[in-house]
Amino acid sequence: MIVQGASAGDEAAWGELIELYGRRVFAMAKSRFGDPDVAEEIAQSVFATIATKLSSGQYAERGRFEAWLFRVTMNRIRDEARRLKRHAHPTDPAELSLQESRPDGPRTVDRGRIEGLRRAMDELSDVDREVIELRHHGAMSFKEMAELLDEPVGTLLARHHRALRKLRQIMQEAPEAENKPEQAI
Amino acid sequence: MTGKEMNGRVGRLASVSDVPRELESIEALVSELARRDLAGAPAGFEERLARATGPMLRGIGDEPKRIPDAPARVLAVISVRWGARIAAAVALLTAGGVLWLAAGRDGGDGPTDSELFAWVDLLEVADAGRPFPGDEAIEALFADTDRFSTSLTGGLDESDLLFEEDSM
Repeated sequence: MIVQGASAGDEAAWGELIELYGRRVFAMAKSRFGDPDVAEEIAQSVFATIATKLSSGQYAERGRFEAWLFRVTMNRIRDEARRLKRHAHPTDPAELSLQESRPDGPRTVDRGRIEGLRRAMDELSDVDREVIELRHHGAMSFKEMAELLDEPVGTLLARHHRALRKLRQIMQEAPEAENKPEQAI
Repeated sequence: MTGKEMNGRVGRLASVSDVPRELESIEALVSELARRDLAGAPAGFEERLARATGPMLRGIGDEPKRIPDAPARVLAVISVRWGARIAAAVALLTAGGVLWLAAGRDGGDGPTDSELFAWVDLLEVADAGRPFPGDEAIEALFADTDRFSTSLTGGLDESDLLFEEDSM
């Protein structure tokens, strides 16, 4: 209903879609690139594409809007990752620390472990990273991810477990003691 | 689903553990990372997103437009990325001038969208009936971005501008 309303040009319905999905798209991009400006830009690009296609009647996937939206999101993220590879801009560790130090509610997890986890995420393969980010940042169920990626749920579950194991291993092998994930949250 | 319900959904997804016990700790850490990234959208994020992309539901923003009877003040924004669409959409909402879009004339990078959003804020000032920002304000906005030094008012004529077929 909301998608139909947005397709018909209803900006209130569009606002509801943004409320439902905007932050999830932002979070996926933020996780990948660490920069909220880049993440906001990617989110805008995604929603601009969605709006343009809705307005031109190109969206025909009845009932699969979420899969389509996250497919566009993944493509944008991949595009930006490729672009950044061509023009390498390493994340300044000081900036990363500054981002983590911004107050965002009660902190129950040591900042160092979060930073360590971000670095560990960078070492995952793209395929493993995507399943982590779709599951946690995109808040997708495995069934929704299976529809998006056109893969069996069991495959994605196994990939998710594998990715978590890799993250745990990377963090355990990191030189700083505070990166150990087993230290209680 | 409201935003609050969405947050609840994320929380439920984060807390339902489908992983072996040995991986619960690392999963919890990943969930915390995701929570921070979800909460880390800057203030006004949804409002800006809706404002910039809402007009596109009506097909606005696909190409540069001229506002009828607008003052003959032309400002060029160089962008190689979709951010130029924001400017096109804003042009239709702003009575104070005309925004033409040029895409990567020199092959260099265009403004970031953060810069374009600052630009949008300037245009909204104009739309509210206050005097249109002068060249000084615009140049101050891009003062530390020398790629704009030859792109703003004063040095342009029609031959500098790209037309609809060159728009993004």
